[in-house]
Amino acid sequence: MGAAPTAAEGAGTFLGTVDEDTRSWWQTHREAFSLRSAGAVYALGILLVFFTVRASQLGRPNYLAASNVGNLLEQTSLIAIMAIGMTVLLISGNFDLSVASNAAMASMAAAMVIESVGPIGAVAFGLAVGTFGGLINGLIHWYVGLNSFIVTLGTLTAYRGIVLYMNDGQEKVISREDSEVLKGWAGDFVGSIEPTLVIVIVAVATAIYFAVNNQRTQVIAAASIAAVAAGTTLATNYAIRIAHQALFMLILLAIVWFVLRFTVTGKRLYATGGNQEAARAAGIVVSRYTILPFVIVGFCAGLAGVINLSRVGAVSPSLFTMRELEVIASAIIGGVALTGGSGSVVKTIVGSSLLFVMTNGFTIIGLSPFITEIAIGVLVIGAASLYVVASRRAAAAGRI
Amino acid sequence: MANAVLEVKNITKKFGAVKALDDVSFSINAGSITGLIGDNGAGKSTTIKILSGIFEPTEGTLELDGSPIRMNSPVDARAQGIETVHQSLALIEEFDVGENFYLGREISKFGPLRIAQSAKMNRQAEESMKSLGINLPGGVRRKVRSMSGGQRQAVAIARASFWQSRLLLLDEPTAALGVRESKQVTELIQRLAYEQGAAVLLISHNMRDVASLCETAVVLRQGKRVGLLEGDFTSEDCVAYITGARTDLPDEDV
Repeated sequence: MGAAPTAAEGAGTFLGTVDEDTRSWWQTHREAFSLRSAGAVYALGILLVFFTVRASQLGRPNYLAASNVGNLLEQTSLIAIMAIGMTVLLISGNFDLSVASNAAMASMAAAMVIESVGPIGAVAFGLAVGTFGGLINGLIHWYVGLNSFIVTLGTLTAYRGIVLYMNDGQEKVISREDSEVLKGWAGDFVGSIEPTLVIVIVAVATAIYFAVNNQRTQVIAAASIAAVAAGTTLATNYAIRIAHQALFMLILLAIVWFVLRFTVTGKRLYATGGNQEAARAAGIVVSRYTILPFVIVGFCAGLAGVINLSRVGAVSPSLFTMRELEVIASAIIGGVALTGGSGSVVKTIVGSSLLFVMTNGFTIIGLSPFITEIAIGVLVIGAASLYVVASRRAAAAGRI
Repeated sequence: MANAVLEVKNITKKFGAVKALDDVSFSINAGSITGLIGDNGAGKSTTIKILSGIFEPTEGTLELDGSPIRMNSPVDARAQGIETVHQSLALIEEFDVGENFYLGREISKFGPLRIAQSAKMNRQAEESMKSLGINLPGGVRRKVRSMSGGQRQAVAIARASFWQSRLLLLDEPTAALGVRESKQVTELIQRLAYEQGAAVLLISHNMRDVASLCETAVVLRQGKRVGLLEGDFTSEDCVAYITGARTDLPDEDV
């Protein structure tokens, strides 16, 4: 039993010799730019350039015209709202196949009660039904111990059955007055905004943040961006029409992103999905962080259902059929791992955008919609493969 | 023992008709390393689970600093100052060192909003790692995913010692490591005991480690304490007790 080595002796020799982090900004941040982390963003960029160039070659309207970008944003939003919830659930290590059926159930439920309880009651009921649908999934998964894939495979069919049962398999049309009220809340356009103005606001806020933290270089960088964006705003007239659903999606995105990124709740959610045993050993109430994400997906489904009712004024019993696949594809293309513990809602939205940019772009350049389906299939497999291969390589090479 | 941190007194644990532990007693002292050894099925895991609050003993008591304690969960054990480093380490792969240190005990601000104070947590984790002489290439912002086995073990042990623990339970800390990393981790364990005064219980299959590191070693065999090795014992002594060639039990008990 020799004398113990002291900390001073140990320092510098223990498990490595790097005394200070002398790596450059690029070295410490390069992972964020890797194909694995930002592949979906690169793909979106490449597709946007491709469609813009091709559309102009073919003499079609400008692909990036404000009207088309506004349309894209509107089309993406409903799937994106559900995909935000799905991302939270995937991070926690689970899966929901029933999301689209649940959304249809919420939509039909709201339409069925609107005559008797009025628009406010109908919206509240629709959201509650969706949330409850999610809660049921979570409770069965947790208390029965059944794999979430199987639970939601069952509720996928069961919830669709409820949609059909509620109105005898018929489409439900709500009254013109109710429809007008809902449209004003959630089924119309909020107004127009120049995206460069948003950049100005964000850049100014960032500059103020860095100024408070005395980081001069960053203040200058943010202020320069703000100035350029402000100039562009004044010089151009590029305004995008924002639909209610796009606004709701962006608000939801901001909230969920913030919670996941900065709060204790977010960290515990990642921990539960990443290593449930470790989370439990650390005293985290694992049941809460397992059931809650199902409820969040349910709420998002309810929101999508209510918004769709507001836009259309009717619910078809086949509403959102098979759309759960787009929701899940969004998250996978965005790099969320099915194994849990990692993923980002922002990248999921990039994933949703990719799906709609492809569909819309192929139409504009006159390709068959069948080709789009093939391309989306390839994209899903490609994105998932990229993630798996890159993770394997990182695991092999990253260990020092 | 003058400075026993934990006294295990006549612990028995039954699972139905099976006695996993039978009237086991020993004590763990501050500033020293105690070994817990035995063959598979001897009761080491059951002991660790009782000490870390996962199981409750069927009979017997645990005394921490002279007063009896009851623990119903790992959280209770931690609240008493008993930290466990499981063989699986219980680290989150996608988290960095600071996030793993504070897992389940995060510092937050703005009340119910619970905004995690990541910078503060990382700074304190960094200081703690430094004070233990652990120099992790890439610093505390590195994710566990990118770390070697020895680095992970060091992070897990440092996390356990970080919470002013009085008792550290280390389950096979060197089992998965190579020679060099094993040596570095055993040096870390020595620093914790001799410089920081922690009481360490070391569960290991490596008898040479146990013989060279531990002042005392408790030997379990089929749920019973068959030996207590003290002073200058050798790995052969350990093996003799583990295999049943030697025993301190009276004949009729064997």
